[in-house]
Amino acid sequence: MKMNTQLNILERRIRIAALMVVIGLAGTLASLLIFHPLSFVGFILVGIMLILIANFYFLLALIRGTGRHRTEQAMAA
Amino acid sequence: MITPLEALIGLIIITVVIDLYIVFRPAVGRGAGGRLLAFIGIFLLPVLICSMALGTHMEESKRTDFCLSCHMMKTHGMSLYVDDKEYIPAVHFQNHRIPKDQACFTCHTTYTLYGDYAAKLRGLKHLYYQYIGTIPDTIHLYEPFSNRECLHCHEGARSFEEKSIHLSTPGLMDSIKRDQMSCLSSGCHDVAHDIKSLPTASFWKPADPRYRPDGRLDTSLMTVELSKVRLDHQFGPRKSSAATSDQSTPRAN
Repeated sequence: MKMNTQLNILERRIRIAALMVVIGLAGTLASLLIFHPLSFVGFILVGIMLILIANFYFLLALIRGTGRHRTEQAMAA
Repeated sequence: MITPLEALIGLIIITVVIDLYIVFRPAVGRGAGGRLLAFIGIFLLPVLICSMALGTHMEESKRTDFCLSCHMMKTHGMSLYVDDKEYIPAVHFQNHRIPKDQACFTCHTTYTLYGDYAAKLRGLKHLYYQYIGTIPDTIHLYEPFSNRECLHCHEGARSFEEKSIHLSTPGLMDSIKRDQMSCLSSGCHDVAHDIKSLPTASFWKPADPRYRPDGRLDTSLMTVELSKVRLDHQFGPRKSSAATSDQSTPRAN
């Protein structure tokens, strides 16, 4: 049961990260279609920022998820 | 043939499809294969896309159109069409000594390792002044124009190396190359973007339509801009800031 909850948290975090990447990529795509000084700023503020946050969140979720999973496995053993 | 921009857009679409699959099928993260897919879709591909998009934006921001999209720069763009051999930027632009599409950037970047990025960081500051801050009446360079930017192309060229005036005084060539004597401010090639003289200047009108001013610098706008410059010239600047050489004045590169 505990392991199931753990997986659900991991899944939810991966889902949030994926959603952030989708929004960031949409911003990046929009900035690439119109080349203007403001679109460059939009690319940095929306595209790069969201994707970096998503990357960090995803990696953190994986590390935490795997770490807890291993601890639980060790305790069960 | 697929252009780099098309390839980048294709990559973005593929990544969005992968990520939407993860969003709507979260159970994919349970297996090792699913996590690998998530790693590719959330980490690997987005990082690759960001670096490619940054490169594309950097390249596009070198374009003359990009620089002239700020209102303040239009008169500088017009000065490229001045019909006067003394105007250094005009002579370079009209004789294709610099690429037409990268006219501003060719001379106004520092030819150093991170010169492009430093110029773009300053560009962000210009964007702030354009949309939020106050644009100064007169813009200045951040630092004196270095000979390095001229020598990047002219050094080694026969027309430069063998020019009699450059060889007339012993040590002159050496001091030019060492940036001890400025090409511009020494008084030899001192007419750059002389905006104040634009109202009395005549402009080059290329016979070939391909070389005529395009986009924001079209002939009709040129007339509008010129009349505005004439007004400024006759009745003084738009704002009453007195000191143009004030250190606090935002400067343009």
